[in-house]
Amino acid sequence: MIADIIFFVLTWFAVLALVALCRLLGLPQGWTPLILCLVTAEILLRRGRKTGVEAALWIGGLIAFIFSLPHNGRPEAILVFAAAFVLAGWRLRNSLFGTVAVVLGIAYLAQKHWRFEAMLMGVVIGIIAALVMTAVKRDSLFALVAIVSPIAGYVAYHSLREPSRAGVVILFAAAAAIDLAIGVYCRIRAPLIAGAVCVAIAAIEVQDFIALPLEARLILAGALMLATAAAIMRALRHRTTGIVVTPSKPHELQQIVQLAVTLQSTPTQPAEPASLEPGGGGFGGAGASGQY
Amino acid sequence: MNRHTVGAGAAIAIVLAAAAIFYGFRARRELFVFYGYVYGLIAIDALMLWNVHDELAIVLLLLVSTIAVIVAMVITHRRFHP
Repeated sequence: MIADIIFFVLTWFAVLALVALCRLLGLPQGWTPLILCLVTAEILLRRGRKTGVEAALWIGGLIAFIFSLPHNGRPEAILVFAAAFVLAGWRLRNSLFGTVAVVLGIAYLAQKHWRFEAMLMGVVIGIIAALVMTAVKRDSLFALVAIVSPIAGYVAYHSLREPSRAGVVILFAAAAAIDLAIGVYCRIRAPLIAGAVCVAIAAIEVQDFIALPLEARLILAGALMLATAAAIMRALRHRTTGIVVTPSKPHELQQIVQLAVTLQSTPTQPAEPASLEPGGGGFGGAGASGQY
Repeated sequence: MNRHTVGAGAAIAIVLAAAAIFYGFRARRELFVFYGYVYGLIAIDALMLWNVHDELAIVLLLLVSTIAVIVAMVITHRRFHP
């Protein structure tokens, strides 16, 4: 992971240097980096394992190209960047790029001053992603989207800096309930994390309704969190199946049995060829006309 | 940066980077090799940038040295994860 990040950052630096070189040499600043980066990335993709260089080249080339286009500062530019992330994410099967595209879509709505709609979109996308995860359990794109899009939606809404609204609290509490239900029922981790995130956002939003000083609210929240954690630990203490808090260790006897089975199944002598006795039975297949 | 100590600072950084690379290969710890490459790259680039004044040469130098380090890192990565 750290190696991938180092590869990504260094490659981005190289792409920036390439753009600067194109500017100094008078070459097209959009097309030249785009073609060079994409061709190099495709060569690397065909040659071997992904490292992070390909991802940086793909997105770096596309962003360099977008920056070279004539622009007038309209918010629709965000959608162009989102499209670039969708394209790169689709080609590289990169869940992070897909998530960035979703966040950029929410940011576009916020930039158009549709902040409540942006928040609603973030929550709905998060729930849809969690629901999709019930079908494709190990997909990191939907897991990331389920966790990040409610946060993006709330940040987009909160940039208004308005006082707390009961509707927002209810929305995030409902989203948390749905996410937690999906997580517990289908035993998937990402909706559980998304549920916790939604609970935290609802707790942040509800603070204006509590007529207590900030310190008292923080102490109350901390105590509530500790009590919840203790209750969950207590409930799951001796559980060995379903949702557990400690990784299960195989029993000693179970390990011995497993070892014995492994040893027994290992052939010590070459197996003798089976002797065929013709005329031993008249079995017609699938038990249709069996005669022993 | 002090003009008189740039060379010494870069030399120390390069020596330490080389030590990190050596230790990384010896202990089979890939990240130490990467740290060595990156800090070595920064030291060499800083040294060169201090002495080169042409804009085109600076950009070319940054591009070539970064690509060289990326290639070295990819080769190292494949060596550690065959």
